[in-house]
Amino acid sequence: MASCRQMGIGDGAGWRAGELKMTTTPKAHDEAYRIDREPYYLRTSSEITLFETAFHTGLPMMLKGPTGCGKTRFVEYMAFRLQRPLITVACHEDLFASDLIGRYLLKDDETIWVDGPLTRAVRMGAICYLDEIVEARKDTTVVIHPLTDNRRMLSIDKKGEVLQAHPAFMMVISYNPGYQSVLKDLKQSTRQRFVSLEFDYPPAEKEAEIVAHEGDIAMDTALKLVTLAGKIRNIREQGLTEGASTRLLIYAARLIRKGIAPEQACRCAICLPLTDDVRLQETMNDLIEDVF
Amino acid sequence: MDNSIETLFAADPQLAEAVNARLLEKDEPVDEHTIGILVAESIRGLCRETAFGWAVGLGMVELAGRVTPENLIEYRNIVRQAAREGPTLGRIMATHLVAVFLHGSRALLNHFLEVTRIMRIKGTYTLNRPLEALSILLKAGDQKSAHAYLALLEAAFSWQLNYNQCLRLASLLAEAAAVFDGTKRTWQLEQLQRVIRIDHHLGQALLDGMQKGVQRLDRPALEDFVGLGLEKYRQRARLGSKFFSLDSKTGRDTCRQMQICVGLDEVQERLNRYLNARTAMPLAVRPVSALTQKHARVQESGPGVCSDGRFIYLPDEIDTFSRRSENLYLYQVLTRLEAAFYEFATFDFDLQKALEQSLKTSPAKMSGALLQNFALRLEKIHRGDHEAALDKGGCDLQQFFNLFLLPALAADLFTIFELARIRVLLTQRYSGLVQRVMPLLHQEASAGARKPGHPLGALYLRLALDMDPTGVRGTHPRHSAFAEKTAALWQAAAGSELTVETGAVIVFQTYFEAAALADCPGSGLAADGFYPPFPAPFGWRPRPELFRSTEPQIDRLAARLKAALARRDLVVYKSDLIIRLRQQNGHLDDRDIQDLAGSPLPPGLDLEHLLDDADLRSATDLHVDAGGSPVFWYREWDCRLADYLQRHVRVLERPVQGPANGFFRQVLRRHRGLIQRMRYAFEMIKPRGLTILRQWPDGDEFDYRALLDYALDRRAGILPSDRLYIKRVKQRRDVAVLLLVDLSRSTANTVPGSDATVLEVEKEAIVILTQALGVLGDTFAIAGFSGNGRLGVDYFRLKDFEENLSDAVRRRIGAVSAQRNTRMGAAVRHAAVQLERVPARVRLLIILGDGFPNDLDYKRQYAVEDTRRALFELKSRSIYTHAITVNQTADPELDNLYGNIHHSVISDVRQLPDKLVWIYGRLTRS
Ligand SMILES: Nc1ncnc2c1ncn2[C@@H]1O[C@H](COP(=O)(O)OP(=O)(O)O)[C@@H](O)[C@H]1O
Ligand SMILES: [Mg+2]
Repeated sequence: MASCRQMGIGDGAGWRAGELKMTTTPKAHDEAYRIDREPYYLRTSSEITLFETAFHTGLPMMLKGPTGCGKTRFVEYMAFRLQRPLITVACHEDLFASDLIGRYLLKDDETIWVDGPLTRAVRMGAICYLDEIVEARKDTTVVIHPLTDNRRMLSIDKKGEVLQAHPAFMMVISYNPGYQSVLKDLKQSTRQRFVSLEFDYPPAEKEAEIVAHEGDIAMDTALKLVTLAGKIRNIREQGLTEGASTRLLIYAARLIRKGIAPEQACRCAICLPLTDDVRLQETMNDLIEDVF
Repeated sequence: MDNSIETLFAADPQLAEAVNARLLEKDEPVDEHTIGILVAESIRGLCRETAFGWAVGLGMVELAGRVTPENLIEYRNIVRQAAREGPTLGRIMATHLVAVFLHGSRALLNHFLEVTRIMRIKGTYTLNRPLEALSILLKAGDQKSAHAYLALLEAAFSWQLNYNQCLRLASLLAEAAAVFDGTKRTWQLEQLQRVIRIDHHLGQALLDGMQKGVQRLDRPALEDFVGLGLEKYRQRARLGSKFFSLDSKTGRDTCRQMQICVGLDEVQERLNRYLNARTAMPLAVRPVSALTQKHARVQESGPGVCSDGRFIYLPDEIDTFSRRSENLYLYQVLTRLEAAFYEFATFDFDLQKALEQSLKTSPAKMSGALLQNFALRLEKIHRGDHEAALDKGGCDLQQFFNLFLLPALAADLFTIFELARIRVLLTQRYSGLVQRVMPLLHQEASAGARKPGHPLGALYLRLALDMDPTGVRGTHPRHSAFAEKTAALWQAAAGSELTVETGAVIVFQTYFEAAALADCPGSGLAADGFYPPFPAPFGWRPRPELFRSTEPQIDRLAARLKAALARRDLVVYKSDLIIRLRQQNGHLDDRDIQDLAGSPLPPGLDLEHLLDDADLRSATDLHVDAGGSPVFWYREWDCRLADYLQRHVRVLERPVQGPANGFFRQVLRRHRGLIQRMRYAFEMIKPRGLTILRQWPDGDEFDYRALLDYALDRRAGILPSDRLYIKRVKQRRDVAVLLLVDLSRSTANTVPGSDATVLEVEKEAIVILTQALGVLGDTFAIAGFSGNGRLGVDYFRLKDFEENLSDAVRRRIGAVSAQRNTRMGAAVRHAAVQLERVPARVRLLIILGDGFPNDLDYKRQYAVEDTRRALFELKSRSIYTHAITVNQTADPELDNLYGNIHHSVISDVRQLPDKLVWIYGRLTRS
């Protein structure tokens, strides 16, 4: 279920869809980031409307939820739907501010400036998706702050340039609250800049439909996989902090599709990736035996 | 000399009384002559020693009339002869010969005399306990074991032994006879004898092993096992001994490989984890021997299953099959079957729904009485009299059965329809399970069919198992015809909507025909109205009479609400209310009622008032003496008022003074391996111990990226930055953690499969955690809490933040013990105050408990809400919390209490020492 919560943001920049002037962005520039085929996305709640509203209001958005439940797919779909380019950055602990903003490089005795993905997105009015934001260094997270309040600007210190964001620019971050490290929590000052959508595994029927579609398997097999996942998600004992994700179910479905025996497919695609604990694996195997 | 009983009265009136009483109990009067001998001999004995006289008197009266006069004389002579060596020996013989004469053969008597002769040489003191054990065997009618036991005694006491060895052997062998299991006892004793013949020291070893798994070996396996052990012993005595006691790995492995029988304790954890995943309910398995109710007997014979809403009862051990894996599998099958009642909500059966739906189905052809019964009861429910009926008539299912003249027949019919529903649901979702389980049920059912056919046998096969009953032996054609017809009826009803009440409707429709069938002469049943219940395979059927709701307060609440609404002509089903209340943790609002009833809440109905559980308000203020301890007052959240009660709870800081104890050191020693591994792992968590600062004005190395920028800037004519270095600085984790341990009474329970209590295991885990914290250098404190009532919450400071892990601290950890209740909120608030005093960037509170908060007028929802509130308060003060619950199955209510990502459940507390450090590591990884 997706739910929307607005977190302490004043009126966003007053850009409306109708005012968009595409001329500011040379077509060729953003082509690489366009999504030209409609990604398959099954809506689970009112998340599409909420995202669209945030986009048109110039608000940044945070997608909360466990891994593999459709956050990335959703952003891709929205980018297509809104006809905006999408620039995705997977965050990690060695990601520096300059990796986002850009840097000078040496080329044929010349120094040239190369925009980082964030700068590029800000210029061309793309959706910039920072995946797993908590993994980034704290000092890196700070550079997005001026972009995510009503200033909507990015300062490039190296060049002494201050960029006003393209009206269609949108910042989206994803955040997995299941990461339990108290040392790695997202800072309040960062959190409170985003409108949040909460993602969870889709309801059984929908999830089965997704698995059947993405894994190209029959609906009843998909339903079984989803039943299994539901049971595995009940195991909230130590060592299994996250349940079986939709993504893992799709993997299993694809293996089954290629003729691997369902039990084995589940073991390889679901059990083993989830945990190393032999006892939990035993329980999962018990459940797999029940279902197939 | 007059030898009537009066003479005995003169000598020892109490003995005479006892003898007389026993004489009167006899079916046939005992002749004067015998009584004469009895009296004379007793008095003779009394003259030597009172106890001896008593033994003779009671022994002879026991024998009188049950053995021949010659035997009685023989008894007398043997006792007399023994008494020459002293009255003690006389007494022992007089007592224990009784069972030999009564239950043993001549050969046994001779064997007995021979063995006691040998034992007497070692001393009279060796006789008492082993002979007591022998008498028990004989009284149980186990002559074979008695022989084996005598042979064992003979082998043991033929050794050259000193006093202590004799004493030890005597008690060991007495214990052996008592622990060995009935059917296996004889050959187990034989094997014990075989071992003792080689070396009497080995007896203890084998007996130890017997309690750890060897007892599960069948006869040939035990023989092999002992043979192997003796071989080991010949190579090296110590190895053999360790092999038998299962203290060596070879011993354990060998035993496990040979073992066919499976004990519940071996599979319990696995089954519990499965149940948890399958039903998401706090269900656990238990041995059926733990089930006290008499009527709870699962099955006439063979393994079976039943459950009571909280526990699923399984055989203590299973040795049905000749292969271990199959026995193990049977445990899994039984668990899986029983779990279905919970997964598919059999016990959510709603009487009102059942009655309404029944009455809707063509009642025209129904006979009057039942129809009337149904209608009357429904009317009562509509009037709102349901609540009163609830306590008397048991749960809804039972009440439903009791509407019929033969409740057992109604129950059987319902069972079969319910099993059919479950079969359908299982087939939809668990095809693997169905494929594996159905054959077993078939097999078990056809084994049952060999007995004279039960009238519902065919229906069971047809519906519960989806099998064609016509070919099955013992099936009467009338039974199969009824089965066919009823199955058609069921299928028609099931086609539209399949609920647990569907079964009840069909019971209503088929009851009379089934009753007629049960009465028919060919069925082999008594025609006097007695109906023998259908023997369901594995005893697998819903057992409403055992069922106890895990949330009786919710049920009561629902019944009360239902009645109140009914009086205002609002139709809301109780089961719907229960389900909604469960989902919302005992809360409902106007919208819920609107939802369920289809019309708004009538004015004048105070929902809040109805929901206010009277149980929560038995306020009894306790006056606890603070005894000079520092006192702190805290507020408490009252969820009924939705407000804080200010200065409501008094926390007393209690000192812990332990005597010097080696606990801490012992734990360190015992877990040497784990601690080493853990230290290593934590060295890794500390990421190189260093933080790399890039673009730093000074340092030991150049920063490559900064250097590049430098070159570029210079070329571009920009003033380059001088921040060109990399500096490595020691990283400061700066974490302060307080470990708050629940010391409630329940932590004194022993952990299954060991002698340790829950708290002892928790303390072990704490000791290990202190080592981890030492590696990481995190500041930490440890405190315990418990108490009694709102004025007496005890808080024990075991280690303060600024304290080192001194001897005093170690002593306190060793000394702290289980106390009383858990008023969690106040303890958490007090802990928070401690945490706030330490300067640290990250503050973390870890709560270690074994269940839900609970104290005087601090129960259930009230307790949960206050605790949750306290945790919210912490969050707002930037204190992280994480709760660890041990010895409980995962429970959605725990999620509710702590927030789903802020707690861990460790059902098997024995894993805590391992896992606590691991959880801590994950919680604070950087
Ligand atoms: N609502 C949905 N509609 C379509 N596909 C979905 C949906 N939810 C999940 N998926 C599938 O699950 C997979 C994993 O989702 P992804 O977006 O990568 O997860 P996340 O970004 O949350 O980790 C996707 O590749 C997609 O196939
Ligand atoms: Mg993703």
